[in-house]
Amino acid sequence: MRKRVETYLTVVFLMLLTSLVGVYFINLIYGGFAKVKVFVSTTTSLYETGLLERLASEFSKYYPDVRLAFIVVGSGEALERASRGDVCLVLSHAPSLEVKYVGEGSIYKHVIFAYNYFVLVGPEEDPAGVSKALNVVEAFAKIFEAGEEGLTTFVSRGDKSGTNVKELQLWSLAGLNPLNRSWYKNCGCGMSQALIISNQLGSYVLSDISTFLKMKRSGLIPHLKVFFSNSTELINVYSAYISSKCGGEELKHAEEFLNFLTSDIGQELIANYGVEEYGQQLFHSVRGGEERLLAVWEQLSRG
Amino acid sequence: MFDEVVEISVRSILISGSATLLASLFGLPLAYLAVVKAKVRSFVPIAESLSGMPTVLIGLLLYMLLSRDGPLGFLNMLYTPQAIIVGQAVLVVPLIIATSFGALRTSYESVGELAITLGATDLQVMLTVLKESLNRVLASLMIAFSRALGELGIALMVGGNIRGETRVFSTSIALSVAVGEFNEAVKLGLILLAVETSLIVCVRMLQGLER
Amino acid sequence: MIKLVNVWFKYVGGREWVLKDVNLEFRRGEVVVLRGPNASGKTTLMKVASLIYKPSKGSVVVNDDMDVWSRGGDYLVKYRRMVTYVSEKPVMFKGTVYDNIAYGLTLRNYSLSEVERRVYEVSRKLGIEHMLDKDVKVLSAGEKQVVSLARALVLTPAIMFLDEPLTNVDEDRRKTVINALKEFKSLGSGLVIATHLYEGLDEINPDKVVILKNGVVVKIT
Repeated sequence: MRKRVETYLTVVFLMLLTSLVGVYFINLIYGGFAKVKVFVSTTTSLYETGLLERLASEFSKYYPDVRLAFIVVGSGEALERASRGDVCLVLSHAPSLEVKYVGEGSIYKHVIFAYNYFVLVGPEEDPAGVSKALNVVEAFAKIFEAGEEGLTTFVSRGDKSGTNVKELQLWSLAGLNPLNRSWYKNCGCGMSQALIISNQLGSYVLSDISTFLKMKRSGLIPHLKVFFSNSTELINVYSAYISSKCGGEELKHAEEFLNFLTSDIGQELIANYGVEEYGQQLFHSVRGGEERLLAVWEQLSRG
Repeated sequence: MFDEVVEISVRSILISGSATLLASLFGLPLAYLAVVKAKVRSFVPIAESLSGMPTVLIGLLLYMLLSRDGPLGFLNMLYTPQAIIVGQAVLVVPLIIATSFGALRTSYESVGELAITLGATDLQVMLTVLKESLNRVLASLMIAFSRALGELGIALMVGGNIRGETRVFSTSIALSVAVGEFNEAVKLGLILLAVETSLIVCVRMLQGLER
Repeated sequence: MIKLVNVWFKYVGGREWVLKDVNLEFRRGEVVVLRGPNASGKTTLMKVASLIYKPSKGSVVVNDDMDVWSRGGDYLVKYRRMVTYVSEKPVMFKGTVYDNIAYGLTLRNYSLSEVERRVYEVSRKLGIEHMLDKDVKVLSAGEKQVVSLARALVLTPAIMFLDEPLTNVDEDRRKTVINALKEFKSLGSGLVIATHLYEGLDEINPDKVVILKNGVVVKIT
């Protein structure tokens, strides 16, 4: 009888062991052999277009021993993970959140490596008449007005993402507070879902350009169109930081990747990425505009 | 693409399977203890309520434990399949207790008592009870396995959804949804359903052969 | 010998005392018949005496040793293996009749050949040899009762407790069962039989009749 207990336990342990070894092997096959791993937390909008994977594969040509492991989350969570030291590198686009972590010293080595523009999108019928607005801040005021009159709605990500932070900033630039208004829908969701909800409700929404183009191409948001883009108020700055708790080999390689991002090769990849597919630039190179972008970043970081 | 789907399927099954096995090593003896010792039976309703815990919450708690500066940070387990296994095991232990308790109790009250009258030691009683209620215990383990396979929060928080390392069905589906690849997500969901169904059919067939 | 001393019993969570201050002795080579109306505590008394239930108050003493329940689990199992209780509604383990009868012997780590010898011996006595390979699922209630008796007899306990052993057993088999019990007694073992049926059992000649009512022993003759 005691023997049967032992057999039972042995069988369970063997099964456990087999599956653990199995996971190990499958990860070896697909994840590559004994490399130094650098954990990078990143915002969804950078990853979803495939840009990061593209950059990573190019990077590995020069540094074959380094493997970049991306944790794809919102900017808020990405920064929090970096400040705890659970990732070495963080890629974010929410200056007003970034500045807090920089201030407390948990992340450092600020590098701006790309930028693009947010887009204000809405239903083709344009019930708020934002196409007649002179700039995006005025467009927001028009949406507020139309919302109060019950003519339209606005969808907010409400998730502390870079896009959400930007949107709140635009409301405050317009001197308005839409919180708790019935036409102001806080979905607490990702960009794709926010776009889909807007498409369904006929709402206005602030989006990053890459997600918008991707969703537009996949035919999921046929009723939405872009009203404002490429204006200074809508600039979207992507920054990289290193966690101050990161050290050793991982730190060395994280710095290498950071340098790669701003190198000629990296910048060229960023500027050309997706042009063929979407017929327009998804991201812009920071070359030559470093100082201007830093000034924009500082302004954005004040919230 | 197909290659990656296979990879994700195999990894998901291995991870959730290990988690279920690990959880059964704790859950079944605990459920049995609750059957035998009426005094400690109060943890069964507790287990019942715990089995509805939001997975993200368990994921978050485990993340804070395993975080570099967390109390278990020295284990270096964050972002590994092992971390997901431990998390999912924690998730399904209460579920295994709650769902196997009834089966074990019925079996204990008939067959267990009979074994005692025939002179079985405590250990022999336990083995007899387990053997006699095997069908329902297996069913309870399959429920636990399904829950582990379908959960998202833990895999996302402590696994990190890293491609080629900790990407499993649920996290992969969540990512597809987040980036607007709905078709991709539905496809993965159908595969997940097919995998689960065939596994459960397999187990049922094995049980059928045994009888 | 098993002695119940001032035994009181109440189920966990139950309100009423099922046994109230019971003092009884059961010996080897003695046949005791327990009688009483339904719910008078016969079954509970037998379960306490066969060391399955722990009394709420009072003690159970085996062989003039100390209270069994105050000692460790090893002692309990050792003493339990000297007595066997056979319930009124027979419970079967999954498997064949052979598996069921062999169960107790396997627990005691008998060799395979010894198990086989004993199982065949007891089956012959009870006339169930032909059904050893049958799955217990196909047995009738009466057949199950005989199998559960065989399962206990094969262990040759010092004292055997039988709860309504003849309820479902049909007429032609009854004779065989009673003969087997007589032989068991003649080998020096004790028998305790709870029943409201008396016919047939007088052949075994009870040494003592205990009458139970509402958990109290009202008469011993």
